[in-house]
Order: sequence, then C-alpha cells, then structure tokens
Amino acid sequence: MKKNHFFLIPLFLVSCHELPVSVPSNQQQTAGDPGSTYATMYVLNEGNWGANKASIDMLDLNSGIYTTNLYPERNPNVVKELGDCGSDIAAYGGRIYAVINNSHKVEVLTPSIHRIAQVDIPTPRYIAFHDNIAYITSYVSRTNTPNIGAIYAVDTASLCVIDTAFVGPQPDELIVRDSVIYCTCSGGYNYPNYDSTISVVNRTTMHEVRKIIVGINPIRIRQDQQGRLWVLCSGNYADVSPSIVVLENEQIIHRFDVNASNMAICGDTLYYVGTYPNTYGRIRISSLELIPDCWITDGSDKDIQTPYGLLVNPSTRTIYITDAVNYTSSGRLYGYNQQGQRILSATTGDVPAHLTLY
Amino acid sequence: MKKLTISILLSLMASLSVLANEIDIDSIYLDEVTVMASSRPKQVILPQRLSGSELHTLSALNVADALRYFSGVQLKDYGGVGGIKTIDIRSMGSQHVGVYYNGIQIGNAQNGVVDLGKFAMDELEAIELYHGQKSDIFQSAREMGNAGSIYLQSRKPYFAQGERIHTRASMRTGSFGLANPSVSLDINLSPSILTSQHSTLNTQHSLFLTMSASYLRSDGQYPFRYRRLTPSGSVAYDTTAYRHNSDIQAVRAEIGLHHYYSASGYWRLQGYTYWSERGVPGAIVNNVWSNGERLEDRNSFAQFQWQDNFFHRYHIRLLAKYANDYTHYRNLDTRTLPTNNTYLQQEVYASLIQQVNILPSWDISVAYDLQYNDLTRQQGISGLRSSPKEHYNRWSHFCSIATAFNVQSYLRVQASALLTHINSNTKLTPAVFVSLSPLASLSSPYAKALTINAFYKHSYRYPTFNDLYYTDVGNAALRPELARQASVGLRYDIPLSSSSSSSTSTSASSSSSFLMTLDYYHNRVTDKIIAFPKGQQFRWAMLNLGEVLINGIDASVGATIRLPLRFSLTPRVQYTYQQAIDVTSPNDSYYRHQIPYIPHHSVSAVSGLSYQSRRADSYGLNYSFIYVGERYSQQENIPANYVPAWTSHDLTIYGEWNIQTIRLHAQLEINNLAGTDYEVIMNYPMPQTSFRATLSIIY
Repeated sequence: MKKNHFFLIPLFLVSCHELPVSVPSNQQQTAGDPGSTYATMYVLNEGNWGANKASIDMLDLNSGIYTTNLYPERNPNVVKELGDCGSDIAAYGGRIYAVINNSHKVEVLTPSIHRIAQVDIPTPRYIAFHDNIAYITSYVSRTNTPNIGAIYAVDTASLCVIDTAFVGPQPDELIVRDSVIYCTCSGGYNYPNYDSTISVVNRTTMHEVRKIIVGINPIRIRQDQQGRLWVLCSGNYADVSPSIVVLENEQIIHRFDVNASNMAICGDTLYYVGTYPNTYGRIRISSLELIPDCWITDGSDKDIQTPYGLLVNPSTRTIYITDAVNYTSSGRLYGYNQQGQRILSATTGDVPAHLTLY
Repeated sequence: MKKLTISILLSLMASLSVLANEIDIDSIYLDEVTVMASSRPKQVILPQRLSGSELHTLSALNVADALRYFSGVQLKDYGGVGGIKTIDIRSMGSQHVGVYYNGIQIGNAQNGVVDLGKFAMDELEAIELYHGQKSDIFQSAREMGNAGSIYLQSRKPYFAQGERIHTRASMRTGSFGLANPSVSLDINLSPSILTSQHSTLNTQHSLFLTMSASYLRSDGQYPFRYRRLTPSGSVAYDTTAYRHNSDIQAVRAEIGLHHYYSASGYWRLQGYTYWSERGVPGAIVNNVWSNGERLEDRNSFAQFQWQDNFFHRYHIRLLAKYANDYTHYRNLDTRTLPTNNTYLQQEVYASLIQQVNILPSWDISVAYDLQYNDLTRQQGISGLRSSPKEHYNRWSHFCSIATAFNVQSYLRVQASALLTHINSNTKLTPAVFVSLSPLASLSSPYAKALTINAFYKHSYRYPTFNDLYYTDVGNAALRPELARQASVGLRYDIPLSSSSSSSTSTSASSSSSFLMTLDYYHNRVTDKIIAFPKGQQFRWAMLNLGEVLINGIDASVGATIRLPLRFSLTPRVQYTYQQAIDVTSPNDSYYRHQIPYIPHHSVSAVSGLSYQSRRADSYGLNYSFIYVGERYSQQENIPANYVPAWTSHDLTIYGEWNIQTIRLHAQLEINNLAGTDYEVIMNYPMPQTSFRATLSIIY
C-alpha cells in the first residue's frame, strides 16, 4: 500500500504543472503629499542585472495610495514585461519615458502606464528633453568603441532617432539647453582610470564642441535658478573621494568635498545623500554654504540602509528618498517634510532609484 | 505504527552476513586493491552511488544530469549542452562541494566551483555522493575539508582471459546538432595474462594502459516558450523563440597507466586534458533574445597515486597532482561592456596518507597535504585597454589525524580532526561518524540489515581568488565560511537472495535487493561570504555577512526485483525536504525566508525494466522522473521572485547484443517527454523534448 502511494506521486505532480502568472500590482496606503500641484510620483525600480525585474511604482500624491509593479498589469501582452535594469524615468509632454538599460530601450508610456511605443537605444542611461526632442545618453556609440559614448536624439512625435552625437566615454546624466547639451562622462568602463569631463554638445549640429574638466567620475548634473551647473563627481572609490562641483559660465567656482552619491535641488537648497557612511547633507545655493548636518531630524535615518534615489517635490518641498537596502530585496520609499520628519513610507520593488513627478 | 512494530520484530530475527556484504561492496567501490587487514568495513556511512548499467542507461549526457537523481542535491543548470552546471549539496552552497576524480580533488581556486557539465559519462564507472566526507579514515587530509563530496570514478579496464586489447567506440547524436564520438583503448601489458574480469581485486603483476578520447559539438539552438497568464487566468503572452549562443565544441583525452605489482601494491599515473569553446547563454530579458559572451576553457592535469601495505598493519598512500587551467572570457555583444579576460591557474598538490592497524578493530591514520595555487589574470576591455597581468598565489597546508574502531559488529565509530592553514588563517575542524547495527548479532538478515548512522562535522569554505582579489571588490580580510552539519539516519539494506552481485557488472543484476534510507540533518552556515553592492555603479564588496539555517530530510527507497522470464525491475525513488532559511538579521525583510533556489520539496525516481536473454543479450527500458518544487530567485519569498515547480520525464531504451567477440550497445534517450517549459534559474529557459541516440561497439 505504501509503495503504491510512492508511485502515484509522479502522476499527481504531472497534473499539478502550473503556468506562471504575471506578478499583480499591489497597493499600500500612505499619507501622501497633500497640497502638491503634481498628482503623481513615479518610482522606477532598477531590479538586479539579468533578473528582468525593472518595475514602475506609482504614488498618488493626493490619496496617498502607493501601487507597485503597474507595468505587467497594464500591459499584459508585452513579452517579458518592462525589462532589465531600469535606468531613468521622466515625464514630458503628457507622457512617461522609462529608460531600461539592459533591455536596450526607452519605453514610452501614458501616465496610467499603458505602452505607447518602445524606442530601441543600445545601453541607454539617462533622458532629458528640449523642444519636443528627447536626448538619451548611451554607453554605446555607433562606432562600437568603448571610449566614445553617444547622445541619441529622439523626436517625441515620431519616436524615431533623428540624430546622434558622439561624446566622452560612458555618459550619464545630462542637461539640455537651447544651444548646448552638457553631459557627464563617467568613463565607468575604464576603472580605475575614470573620465573626468563634461562634454558640451552643440544642440543644432549635434557635435561635441568642447570638454570641461570637472573631477573624477562625474555622473550627475543639475542646474539651479541662476543657471549654474552642479556636477557630482563620484571619485574613484579609492583615494579620490566624491565631490560636488559648481560651474558658472562653464568655469568652476566652487568645489564641495562631500560624501555624496545623489543630489536634488529645490529652490535655494541642494540636498545630497551619500553612503559609507550614510550622509544626508545640504548646501545653501545662493551663498555656497555647506550645511553638513543630517537633515533628517527625527532619528529615522537609522533605518535607512542604503540611501539611493532623491527628489524634492517643489510644490510642497517634501523630500523623497529611496532606500535600496541590500540591492537584492524590496526597497523603501520615504518622504520627509521640511523639518526633516518622516511623513511617508512605502515598500517598493527591488532597488528603487529614479523618481519623477507628473 | 503497526507496520513499524512488525518491521522491528522482523529485524529482531537475525544473522551475520550484511556486514560481510558491505565489506564486499566496499572493496569494489573503492579504486584500490588493498584488502584491509581488519575485518572492519572501510566506510562508516555508505554513499549514494550510481554505477554500471544503472548509470549508463540513465538519460544523462554528463555528470550533472546524473546527479539530479541523488537526494539532497540541487542542480543549478543554465540550460542546454553548453550551459554551466553546478550543484549544491544540502543547501550549503556550491563552493562547499568537493569534486574528486579518481580520488584527487578537481580544484578551482579562482571561483571555487567545478562545472559538472564538463564531465562526460562515457568514461565513468561510478558516481558517489558523500554527505560530510567519505567516512573512511584512509584518505587524504584535503578530502576531509568539504561539506559534501562527489567522487567520479573512471572506468577500470577489464580483460577477459587471454585478452590483450580491449577497444570501445561509440557515436552519440541527437537534438541541438549534437555529435559526440568517443573511442577508448585498453592494453594489457602484463607479462602473463592471467587476469579475468572478476579477479582484478587480487591480481598480481598486472600492467594496464588505458586511453580514451572524445569530441563533442552542439549548436545548442533549441526552441523555448514563454507563457504567462494574467492573475485572472487569461493568456498574457505566449511566445516561442530559439536559444542562441549556447553552442559548444569540446575535446577530451585521457591516458592512464595502472600497475598492480603485488598483492597489495598498486600505482597509477593519469593524464587528462579537456578543451572547450562555448557560448555562455545569457539571461532572456525583455527585448534581449541573444547575447555574445564566449568562454574558452582548457583544463589539463596529471595525477599519480601509489599505495601499498606492509606488515599487514601499515598502509601508505601517496598522491600527487599538477593541474593547469586556462579560461578566456570575452563579451562580443557590442551593446554591452566588451570584456576580454584571461585567467591561468596552476595547482601543485601532494599528499601522504598513512594508516596503522593497532588492533584488529582499531585503526589510526595521519595525512598531510600540501597545495600550491596560483592565478595569473589579465582583464581588459576590447578596443580600450588591457590591464597588466596580475598574479596571485597561495600555499595551503592540510593535516589530519583520524581514528576508527568498531565494537564487535554493533558499532563503528570514526573520528577525525583536520588542521587547515590557508592565507595565514589556521582552522581546526572535527568530524565524527557513527554507525550502529543494533541487531547485528541476530541471525536474521532482516534484522542485520538495519543500521543507524549519524555524523557531526565542521568544515570551512575558503575565500577564492575572486573573493579576495576581484577588481575593486576583493576583500583580503575575508574569513572562511563555516558550515556545521549534524545528520542522523537509518539505512535498511537487505539482499533478498543469497549471492551478492557486483554492482559494477554491466549485465542485469542476478539477485534481488531492497534498500531504504532516511536521513534528517541540521546544518548551519555562518560567516557566509556574500557579494554586497557598494554605492552607485554596482560596485560589489565581498563580505562575511550571512547566516543560513538548514533542516532537511532525505528519504530513498530502491529495490532490485528479479522477475520471471529473466526480467528484472529496479525501481528507485528519492525525496528531499529542505528548509533552508536566512537568519542573518531579524531586521531583514527576508528574515527566515527560504534562501534562493532551494525548493522545499524535490523528488526523483528511476525505474528500470531489463531483460537478459540466454545468450546474454540484454534489453531495457528506463523511465526517470524529476520534480523540483517551487523556489524563489532572490532572498525574499514574494510573488515577484517566485519560480514555479517543474517536472521532467525522461525515457531510455537500450539493447545490448553479443556478436561473436563484439558487444554492441544501442541506446535511445528521450528527455523531457512532456515537453514542459521550465527554468532551473530564472530567465534561463531549459530545452523542451529532446532526443539522443548512442551506438557503441565494444571489442
């Protein structure tokens, strides 16, 4: 009798073979961000390399409802979902653009995360917009040489690549202005010999016109209200520490040696975060005054393991920060008020990294 | 309950031949001629073993395929012929597993993992799996250093009376453009040819030369299908694509010289070389259906072993090895980092093992092993830079002392201590193995067949060169990772008819037998070496962070049943339950969650039906089944990380005919009969139904 049972196991298991089900979205109630002129904040979770787990979460700032993993539910027919390694997310012209690095594409979406189109760009990194053109930095230029990066220009109406500019190696964040594009060149492939320049590209001709030396491994760039550029140089993770460099008329006017890995500007304040050790600092933009004290005042920085993404809602001045935890499990999103008190928290997908308001 | 009582009662009626039987099996198991002076069986706890016709009629192309049929084992398989295949024993991690080829470990100081897909079945006679370590004290010190060990034993030459040359040629072909010819040639160089197939154990003065070579190619292109349902049950998507960049070409050649120069003395010299060039099939992610990673491997080694005994009490064995391994990794995908890295590793190893029989029931042994490893690494980016060669080396010392004794036929005990000195880090690890045959004095074979065994062991997994020196990531201050194992088990092994048959016999077994095992184990892995990302740009740091608690049950039932009309049936079922949970910190969201890729339940079954004609022709049908339960691909046990359970049904049909002096073997294998779409590793699809056909001629 016992033996008979054993031989039934295979038959039982055959009948149990299950088809995988796409992962449904999940909702959490948070406090939201009342009074915001923006209705929604999107969170792009990177997911681990090869895991195909890039995902988009959405926070309804009025109701406070935080919804994770919207894409598969809204686009059930897209094979293998959103893709591998989310790299940037931005809103422009009533659409959401999600840059998916290891799926070599930019996903163009409606605000409700329904797919409009996919634009193929090899190894894309960051996106910025100007005059109805999307500019996307890419580690791969057409020449397939790793010491030249590229900026792809995509017409947001036709969603076709209309031009390409060659820039320095492994370009990351960029700022687009009427006449020029400033793009950080990290040189990340060539560690420990990182690049240390910003490529300045003529927007009309799409040619690199000059390079500005800023510091080792520049990866982030922001502009303030006076039009100055703020560049975060990551250093070489060995003897050169990170720094934030301020440029006015393409000349360095100040360098802050701060432990920063991400920054966000709101009004006259630049917020920065860093790791090893975790750092939460501020810079007064107009006076170039560094306020290194932790801007989190309620002690809740203790349970942030790895500060990662950073954004300030300009309408409410709520500071959003993501915690990538150990990079291989669900992250967290936190909101802080101007007094540095936590007012919001939510569980995100893996490696929440990029935030945008719509 | 009633059944249990009856079986205990049955067991109470006893006799004496099981131990003798085990000794007999042991001496065939081991690749040695020495018959121990004591009556004590060499191993306290017997391994799981696949050998002879049972091994070769499995639907398995390589060792990794065959290991799926052992309990307590999880195979990591990236798919196809070329996909890398590694195993994890009792959830402790692949780097805790030692792989031994003819008694000497196959090393990989670079990453600590051996790709078992590289080892073909043709030249193997047996595969054994030991939990803890081989519980035999006459072994090298290094063999005591793993948490689990796999022993691959290559085919030993068998010569019929008066035979000088023994040849074997086979051709295998099948799905994925598989072509796999192999040849072997054994030459009997003995001055007088007196040996016969069944007398090798006591052969004196025989000298054999064995040679073999094989070639393998496969284009690795197989269709796979991704289907998803929406939570409401309708089809979300359903797409079929071809696996690319999974091709492989490989060449293997081996040579061996075996000399049995006296009743107890024996030496063997072996050379092995393997070369392969293959695609590394990458993860299938959105918008990416092929990639461009290529891997070229060259593994060569020469090994020597000598053993003898003197004065009936003193046993000595000497091992020596030189290995040279070259790996070239390139990424040809122009969209990603065009990596171009080469790694050259060398290993020099020597071991001296001595054992003394103090009393007929008491032995002690000491062993000392010395090992040198080096790695020369050159990492570059095609078209950008080529870093200077980096060179790393290390010396490792292993010293062990062990003792074994038995109390009549009831109790067998073995205890050992291993002192390891690596990277100026000295560790002492104990191991104790106990086997109790409570009813051994009774005359009934049913009672004697019961043994209760247990072991407790510590072992360290040492940081590999990659862990220590990986560019910008290595952490020279890493401590070794500690695994502590406790295991207790029952074994009920009964021959149902008198004559014990050699399990190496290639013909159908002539006697019936029944074997049942049940093991419970509790393991704890601490100071687990994990890669932890550090800041932006995915810079990983290696840390001693992590603790895993493992509770498991392995159960197996197997039998050989002689049926009328020269038929015999060999059913075998194994079941493994594993709870392997991450207990690093209660603050983690995955605290007490099952660790990645360890299912709670897994089952494998093999059923063989064979028929042997009066002319010793044989025919057989082998059905095998594997079930691996649901798993999670990452630390958190959440729907986003869920990997569904999978099943695979394989079928083998074979025939073997004797035509004058030639034996002809034909075999057809059908793998994944139901054509199930599944993944062992998330985003690495496995093949649907595939076929293989083999024709061998043995002369």
